[in-house]
Amino acid sequence: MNNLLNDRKIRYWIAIIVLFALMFPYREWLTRKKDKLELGEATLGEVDTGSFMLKLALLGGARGVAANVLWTRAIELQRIQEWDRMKTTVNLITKLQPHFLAVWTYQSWNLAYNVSVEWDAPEDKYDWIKQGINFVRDGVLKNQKSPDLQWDTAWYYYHKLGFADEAIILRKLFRDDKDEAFKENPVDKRIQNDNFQVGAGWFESAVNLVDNGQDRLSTAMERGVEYVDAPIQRKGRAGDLAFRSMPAHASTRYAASLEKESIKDVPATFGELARQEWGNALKAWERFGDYSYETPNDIQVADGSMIRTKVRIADGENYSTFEKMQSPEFWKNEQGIDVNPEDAKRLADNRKYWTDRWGTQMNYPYWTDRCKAEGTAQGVLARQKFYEGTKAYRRTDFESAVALYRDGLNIWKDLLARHTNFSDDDLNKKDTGLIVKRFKRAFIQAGMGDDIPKDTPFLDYLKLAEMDTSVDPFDAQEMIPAAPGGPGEREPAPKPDTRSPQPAAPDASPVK
Amino acid sequence: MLDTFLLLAQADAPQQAQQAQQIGLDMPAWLLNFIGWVYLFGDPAYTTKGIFGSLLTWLKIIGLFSLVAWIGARILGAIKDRINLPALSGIAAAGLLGGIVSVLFQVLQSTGRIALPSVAGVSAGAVLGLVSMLAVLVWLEATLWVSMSRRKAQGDKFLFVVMHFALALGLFFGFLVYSYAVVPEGIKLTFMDAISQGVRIGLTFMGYTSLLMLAFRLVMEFSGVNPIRTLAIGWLARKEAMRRMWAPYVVLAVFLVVLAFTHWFLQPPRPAEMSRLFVGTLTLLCSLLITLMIIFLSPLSLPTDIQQQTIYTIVSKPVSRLELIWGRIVGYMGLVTVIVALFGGISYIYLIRQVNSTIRATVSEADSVRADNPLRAAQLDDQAEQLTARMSARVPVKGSLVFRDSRGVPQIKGIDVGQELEYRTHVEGATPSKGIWRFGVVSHPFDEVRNMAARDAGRTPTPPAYPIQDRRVPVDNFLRPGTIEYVDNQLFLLKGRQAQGTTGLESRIEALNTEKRTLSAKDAELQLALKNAQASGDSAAVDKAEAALAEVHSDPFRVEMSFTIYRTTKGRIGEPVFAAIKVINPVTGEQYENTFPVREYYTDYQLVPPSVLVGSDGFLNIEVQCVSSTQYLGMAESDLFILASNGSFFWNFVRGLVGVWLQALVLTSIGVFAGTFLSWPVALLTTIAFFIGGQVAYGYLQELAFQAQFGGGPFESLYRLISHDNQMSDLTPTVAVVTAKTFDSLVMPVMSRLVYVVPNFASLDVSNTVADGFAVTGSQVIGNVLMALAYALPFSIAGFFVLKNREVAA
Repeated sequence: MNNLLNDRKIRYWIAIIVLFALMFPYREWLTRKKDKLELGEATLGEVDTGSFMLKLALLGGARGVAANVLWTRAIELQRIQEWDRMKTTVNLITKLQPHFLAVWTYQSWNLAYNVSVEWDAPEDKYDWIKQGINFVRDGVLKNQKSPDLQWDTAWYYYHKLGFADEAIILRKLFRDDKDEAFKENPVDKRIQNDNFQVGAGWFESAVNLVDNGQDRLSTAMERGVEYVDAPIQRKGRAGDLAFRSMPAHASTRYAASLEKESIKDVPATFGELARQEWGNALKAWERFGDYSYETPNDIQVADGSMIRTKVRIADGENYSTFEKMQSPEFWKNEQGIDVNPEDAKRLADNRKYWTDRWGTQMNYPYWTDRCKAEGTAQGVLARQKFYEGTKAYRRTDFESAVALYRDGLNIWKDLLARHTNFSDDDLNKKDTGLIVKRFKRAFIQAGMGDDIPKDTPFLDYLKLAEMDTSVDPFDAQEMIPAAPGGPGEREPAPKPDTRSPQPAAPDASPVK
Repeated sequence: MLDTFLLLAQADAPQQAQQAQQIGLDMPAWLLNFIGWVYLFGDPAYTTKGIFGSLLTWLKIIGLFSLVAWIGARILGAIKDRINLPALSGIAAAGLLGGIVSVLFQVLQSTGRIALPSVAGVSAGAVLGLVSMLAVLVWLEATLWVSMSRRKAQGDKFLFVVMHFALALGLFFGFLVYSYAVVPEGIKLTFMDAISQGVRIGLTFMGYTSLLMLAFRLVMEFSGVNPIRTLAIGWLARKEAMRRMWAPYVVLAVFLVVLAFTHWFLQPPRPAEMSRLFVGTLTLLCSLLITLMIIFLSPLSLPTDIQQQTIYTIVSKPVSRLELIWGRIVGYMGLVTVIVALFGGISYIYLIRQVNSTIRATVSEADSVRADNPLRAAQLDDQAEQLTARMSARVPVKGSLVFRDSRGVPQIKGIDVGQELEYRTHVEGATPSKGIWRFGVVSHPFDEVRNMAARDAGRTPTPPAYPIQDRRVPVDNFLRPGTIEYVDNQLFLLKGRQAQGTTGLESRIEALNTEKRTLSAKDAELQLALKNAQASGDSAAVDKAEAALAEVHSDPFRVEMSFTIYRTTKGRIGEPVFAAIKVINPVTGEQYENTFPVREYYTDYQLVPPSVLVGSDGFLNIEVQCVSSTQYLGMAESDLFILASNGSFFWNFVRGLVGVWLQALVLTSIGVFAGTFLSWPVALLTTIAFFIGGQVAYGYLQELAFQAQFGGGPFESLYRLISHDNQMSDLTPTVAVVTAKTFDSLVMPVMSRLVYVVPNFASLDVSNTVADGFAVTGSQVIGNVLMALAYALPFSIAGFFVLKNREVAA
C-alpha cells in the first residue's frame, strides 16, 4: 500500500515536471506569435499595474461576470445621481477590460455629455466634460492603435466644449485651465489655449494613425486571430470622408471663433493672426482634398478586368483635369493600366461622377472658397466691422453700429462677388443674413427709419435669418446687452459669495 | 377583513371605542379593547410601532420556532422509541394524502379547471383540507401522548395539556370575533375565517407556552454557566484560530496589501466626494475580510473537534454545552474585536491623512488659480468645504415637508417634471409654488395639506387622522445663556406662563428684564463702536467690535440645503437659478428672508439669526421658493435641515465599526450553530448562504416572505423558465402547471416562514451615514445591538439544544 502511494506520488511529480517543461517552449512560441501579431499587452498600449492585478485576482473567467455586475451598478448609480461613485465604478470596468473599446467610447461620452448636462453650473459641467475627456484619453494611452478613441477625444474637445450652449464659458474655463497635459496638442506637443486647436490636433492624430498603416481593417492583423473582445474600428475605414474632413473642420472653426467673442470676456482677434489661421484652415482642406480615395464601384474594361479608379476631391475644382483623363496615357501613367480610349472615357466619367458627388457631399467647394475669402485682408476687415458693430450695439451706440455694419456689408458684398461658391451656400446665406438682421435692428433702434434701405446688400438673406431659431452659441451671446446689476449682483448672500458668476461687463476695449 | 384586525390591534383604547361606534358595533368598549390586545399579542402578523412592537414580534416568532422545535424533538423521540400505532398510522397517511389532494383541488379551482361545490359557504377543497389536518393532528396527539407516557415525562405531559388550553383559548377568541362580527359593514366573516384566525392565535399562545418552558429550562442552564470556564473555552478557540488557520494574520496581511494599493483601483473623481468613497470602501473592505474570516473559522471548529474526537476531553469534564457554544462565540468575538480595532485604527489614520492632504491640495490649488480663474477657484473652495463638512458627524433636525403648487394650492408633493428619479419633486419659479418645511409638533403632511386647504377656504381645520410627529427645533442648543436672544426667549416663555395664570413669576421676570436692559445697553454701545470703527477704516477695531458683539448674541444657526435644478430653458447662459428662503417663527411672526443662487449637487447653507428662534418653543416654518422664472427647483424632505450640532467624526467612525462588529457577532453565532449538527463543509456552506441571503439577497427574501414575487413560487418559476413564459402572463392550467402550482402551494408557506430566520445584515451596516457626514445616533446603535442580539441569542441557544441532544461522543 505504502509502496503504491509512493509510486503514485512519483508519477504525479513526473507529470508536473513534464507539463512545466512543455510549458516553456509553448510560452516561447506564444510570445513570438504575440509579437508578430502585435497583440502583446505592451504593444497595444501602456500597461496598467492595477488592471493587471485585478485581472489576475479574478482569474480570467470571472472577469466578464464582474464587468457585467459593474456595468449594471454603474447604470443604477447614474439613475440615482451618484455621479462620483458611478465614475469610480466605470474606472473599475476599464481596469477589467482595458482593450474593450466600447467601454471607453460609451462611458466617456456618458461622462462628457450625459453626466455633465445634469450639473447646473458651467464650471461643474466643465469639470465633468474634462473627466470624460481624460477618461477617453486614458483609453488612448492603453490602446494606442485605435484611431476611434483618438477621434472620440478630438470630438469632445471640438464639439462638447465648442458647441454647447455654454460654449463661451466652457472655452473660457479651458483657456484658464492650469492643467497643461489637458491642453497639449498631440501632434506638435504644444500647449494650446483653444479647445478647437487641441481638437484639430487630435483629429489630425487619428487621421495620421490610419495613414500610418495602423488600419486594422486592411492589415493582416484581423486575420487568423480569434479575439475575445474584438477591436472594433468605426472610424478611418476606407472612404470615410467625414473622418478625414474633421481636422479641416476644427481648424476652420478655430479661425471663425477668433473673429467672434467666442471666449467669455476675451475680445475677438483680427489682423494678420486671423488671416494666418484662415490660411491654416485652407491648408487643412487642401490636405483633405488631395487624399486619394477609391471609387466604390468597379468598371469592367475591354480585357475583362475590373478597374477601381482613384478619386481626389480637389480635382473637382478644375474640370480640365477630367479632360486629360479621357486619354489612355493618363491611366497608364497614373495606375499603370492599359485601356482603350473608350474605356478611358468611361473611367474618366466614373471618376468625375464620384469626385463631384463626394465633393458636394462634403461641401468642399464652399469650405475652400470660404477659407480663401475669409483669409483675405478684405474678409478679415469685414468681420472686424461686424464685430465692432455688434459691440457698439451692445453699448447701445446704435449710430456707430449702423455705420459699422453698413461699411462691413459693403466690403463683404465686394468680396463675395468674387467667391461665388462661398456666397451661394446656405450656410453663408444664414450667416450673412444674421448680420443683415442685426443691421436692421440697429437701424431701427437708432431711429433712422422703420426699415433698412432697399439697396442694403444681401437683403434677400434677411428672411432666411429671421426664420432661423438655431443660432450658433457664439452668435447667441453677442447681442444680449449686459444688464447692469443682474441677479448675480442684486442678491447679496449673507456671506461673501463667489459662487454666482458676475454678469459680463460691457466690453468696450478696442480690438486688435 | 384582516386589515380591520390590524387597525384594532394598533389603535389606542379611546380610538378603538370611537371606531367601534363608527363601525356600528353593538358591543361594550372594554370587550373591543380586550380583543384588540388579544390580537396584538396573539397574531404573529400584527404588531405595533416602536421597540415594544419589535420585541413582541420577536417573542412571537421565537415562540413559534420553539414550538416547532419542541414538537419536532418529541416526534423524533417517538420515532427513536419505535412507537407505532398501526390504526392511526393509516389515518395519518390518509390525512397527508388528503392534504395534498386538497391543495391540488384548490389549485385546480383557482386556475379554473374545476368548480368545486361548497359546503355551508366553504369550498369542498378547504373542507377536505380541514378534515385531513384533523386526521394528522389525531395521529400526532396520540403518538406524542404515548411516547411521553412511556418516557414518563411528566413535565412534557403537563406542557402538552397546557398547550391544548392555549389552542382552545385562541379558538375561543376566533369565535368571539365571529359571533360579534367585529368587522366593518359589507365584509362577511365566514366560519373558516373564524377557525383559521382562532388557530393562528392559538398557535401563538402555544408558542408562548413552549417559550416559557424553554426559558425555565434555560434559567437553570444559565445558572450553571461559569464565566471563567466560558472565557477559558473562548481563549482556546482564539488559540485554535491563530494556530491552525492563521486566519487573523492572513486577514490583516490582505487588508494591508489592499490598502497599500488602493489608489490603483480607487480614484475619486472630485475632491468633494473623496471621503464618502473612502469611508464606504474601507468599511466594506473591513467587513468583507472579517466576514470571510468568520465564515472559515466559526463553522469549522466544532465539527473538527467532534471528528477528531478532541471534544471528548472537554465534554467529559463538568462543562455545560452552553459554555461550549458561548465560549466559542466569545473567543471569536474577542478576535474580531481586536481585528476591528486594528482595521479601524489603520483605516482611520489612512483616511484622515488622505482627506487632509486632499483638502490642503484643493485649497492650495484654489489659491493658485484665484487670480486668473475665479470660477474654478470658487468651485474648488466649495469642494474643500464639502469635504470638510463630510468629515464630521452632523446631527440634522428634519422638518416635515408640504408644498404649494404654481396656483398656491396645497399639495403633498411638488410638480413632477418627468425625471426618472422620483425622489424629488419640483416647485416652479416665479409662481406662488413653494416647499414648506414645518418644525415643531407637526401633523402628518396628509392632514396638513387638507387643513391648509381648509384654512385657505376659511373653513375650520379638522382633527388629524394620522399620528402627529415631533420635529421640534432644540432651541436651547442654539441660544447660549447670557445672550440677548436667550434672555428674550426666557422672558417670552415666562410671560406666556404668567398669561396662563401661573403666579409667583414676577421676581424672575424682573431679574430677566434687568439682565436684558444691561445686555441691550452693551449691544447698543458695541454697535456704535463697530460703526465708528468701520467709518474710520480700522480693521483691527472692526474685528474687536465684531468679536465683542458675538459675545452678546447667540451664534446664528445653520440651515443646510441640497436642491436640484430643472431648467425648461437655458436662460441667460452662466446665470444660476435663484432660490428664496424664508424662515418664519409662527409664534412671534419674526422672519428671516434671503435669496441665494442654488448650486446643484452641493450643500448650500444659510446662516439664520438666532432672534428668529426667540419664543418659538421649537416651532419654525421654512419656506423655499424658486425665484428664476421658467425654472424649477427639485426638493425632497431630507433636502433641508437645521444643523443641530457637529459631532466628532472619530466617534461616528467608531459607531460605523460597531456595525461591522455586530454583523460579525450574528454571523459567528450562525456559524457555531451550524457547526453543532452539520459536518464542516455543509456548515461552511450554510454560513455562506446565510451571509449572502442576509447581505445581498435580503430584498428578494422579503419578497419571498410576503409571497409577492412575480411569476409564482420556485416550481412555477421553473416552469416559466423552461416554457419561455414571462413572469406576468397567465399560464394555461395544463397538468404541468397545476402540478407546479400544487408543489408551490405546499412549499411556499414553509419557505416564506423560514425567511424570518435570515438576519438583515445590510441594516446593521451604518457606514453610509458615516460616509455622508451624518451622526449615527445612540438609539440607532442600540436598535442595531438589540437586533444583533435578537438573532445571536436564539441561534446560540438552538445550538445548545442541538448539542445537548446530540451524542457527540458517538
